[in-house]
Amino acid sequence: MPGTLCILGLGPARPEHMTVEARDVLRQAEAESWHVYGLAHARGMARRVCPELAVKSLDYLYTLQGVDRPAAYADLAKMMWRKAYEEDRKVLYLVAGSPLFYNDAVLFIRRLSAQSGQSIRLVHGMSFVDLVLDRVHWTGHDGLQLYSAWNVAFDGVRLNAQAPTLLCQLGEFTAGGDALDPDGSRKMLAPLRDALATHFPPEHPVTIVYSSGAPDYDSLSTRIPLSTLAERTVPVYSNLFVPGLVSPNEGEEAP
Amino acid sequence: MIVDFFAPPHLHGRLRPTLQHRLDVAIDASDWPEAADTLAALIDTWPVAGTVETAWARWTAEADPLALSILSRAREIMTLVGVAPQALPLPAPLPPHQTCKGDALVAARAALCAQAADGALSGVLFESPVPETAAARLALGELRMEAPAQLAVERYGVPGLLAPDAPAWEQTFGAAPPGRPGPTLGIRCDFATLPGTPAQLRNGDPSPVGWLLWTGPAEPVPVAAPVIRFLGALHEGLQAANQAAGLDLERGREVVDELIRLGALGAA
Repeated sequence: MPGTLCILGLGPARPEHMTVEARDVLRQAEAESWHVYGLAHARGMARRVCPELAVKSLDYLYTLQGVDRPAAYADLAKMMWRKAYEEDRKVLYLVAGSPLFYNDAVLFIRRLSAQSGQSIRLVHGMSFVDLVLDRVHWTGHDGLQLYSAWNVAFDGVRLNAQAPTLLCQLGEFTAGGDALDPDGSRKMLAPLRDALATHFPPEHPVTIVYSSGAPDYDSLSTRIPLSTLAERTVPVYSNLFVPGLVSPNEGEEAP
Repeated sequence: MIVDFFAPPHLHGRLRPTLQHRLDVAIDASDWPEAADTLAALIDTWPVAGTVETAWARWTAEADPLALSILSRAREIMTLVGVAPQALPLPAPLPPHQTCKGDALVAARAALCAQAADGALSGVLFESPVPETAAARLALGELRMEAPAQLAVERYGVPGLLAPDAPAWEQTFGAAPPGRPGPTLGIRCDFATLPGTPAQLRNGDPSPVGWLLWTGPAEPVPVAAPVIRFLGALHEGLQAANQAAGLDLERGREVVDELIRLGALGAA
């Protein structure tokens, strides 16, 4: 029987945000004993829908000394591909959020698919962007720039200060992608503040958007002047909404 | 015989004195890795001695995972003092496994992991160290994910094939159960002042540390050295214990509460 590779987006965290298609695929995988793989957060989400689904842990990829993240993600992609199309297994790769946002392994797999002509199935999931926009009033009339906060803080990315900007992975404090210790977040908040200060005045309002965490995963936000951005730590996986200079109310904090 | 080695006559008459002597010699020679390993062994003689007999019975009867962790630590301690320990018996047929040279893992990765994913391979015994390259680490990571007994085999060798869930020694025991408050308190553990923690000695930084040590399934607990003086004088009454530790009445009460919480004190 030919193998298949399905990449499944589970949404940000709450089971209610999981698509009907995603739930159907999880149940099918359980019924047909697919080979299912995922990181800790994704495993927890899948268990809430299919408690008996056996999901193998990919967490080891984050603990390998001497293996940088790009190499780990590339290896993960090749491994999923091999299991599906060289060993003819039904493989399900679980991804939190949307598979199409900031997931190097998924992009690698999609490129392998394009090069080989071998199709994959991609089940979309709700992305973190929906939850961020839940906390700000944004019309889209001035556009929206989307960057990793790291890019602005450390990679010299220049913003268009006239348009609003959404910076994700706020608080990520190593180039390897470490963000799981909130105490480390200040290491990037100060450089980010300084980089943004080359575009915006100190009193420019910015909105930190974050999750309340388990079990409710409510979207929460705090609006502060840019100058105070590094005065506190931020929770893991926070985001920063920065209104543009043209329409500062485009992106005001939602009540 | 492993069980006899940790029985009271040999434990008190030979093993602990031997370890204490080795520890003193290692510290005098500033041989910090040896000192750290020996101190860890000395501390671990308490939980090992209190559990090894039951562990032997459970291992030989049902290949109990916790028992494998305990017996393996017992064997390590025996080896440390120059005694060749008996091999552990294998109480059940071994599940499918393979041997592989460490430097052959990367090339064999796909085949080994495919067998493991099919349920046809529980673990791989490496005949030589796995190289510390990125490719080898990624291959070992996948093998550990797919082969259910791989980690246990790497920790405990062939017996690990029969006990995939055997924990690392450091995760074998939890805290001792808390004591019960009461008008008359008794001491529920041994206690000693030793020249530090294993981590301190590894860093070449010896300094007196108190240890609470249970002869049973409980993790030893390091405490401030005055707490040991407190416990040593407690049989003379609370006031004498406070005096020995240099504590006032209120602080002495706090120490008693904490020792009850740790399970070192309890209603007699």
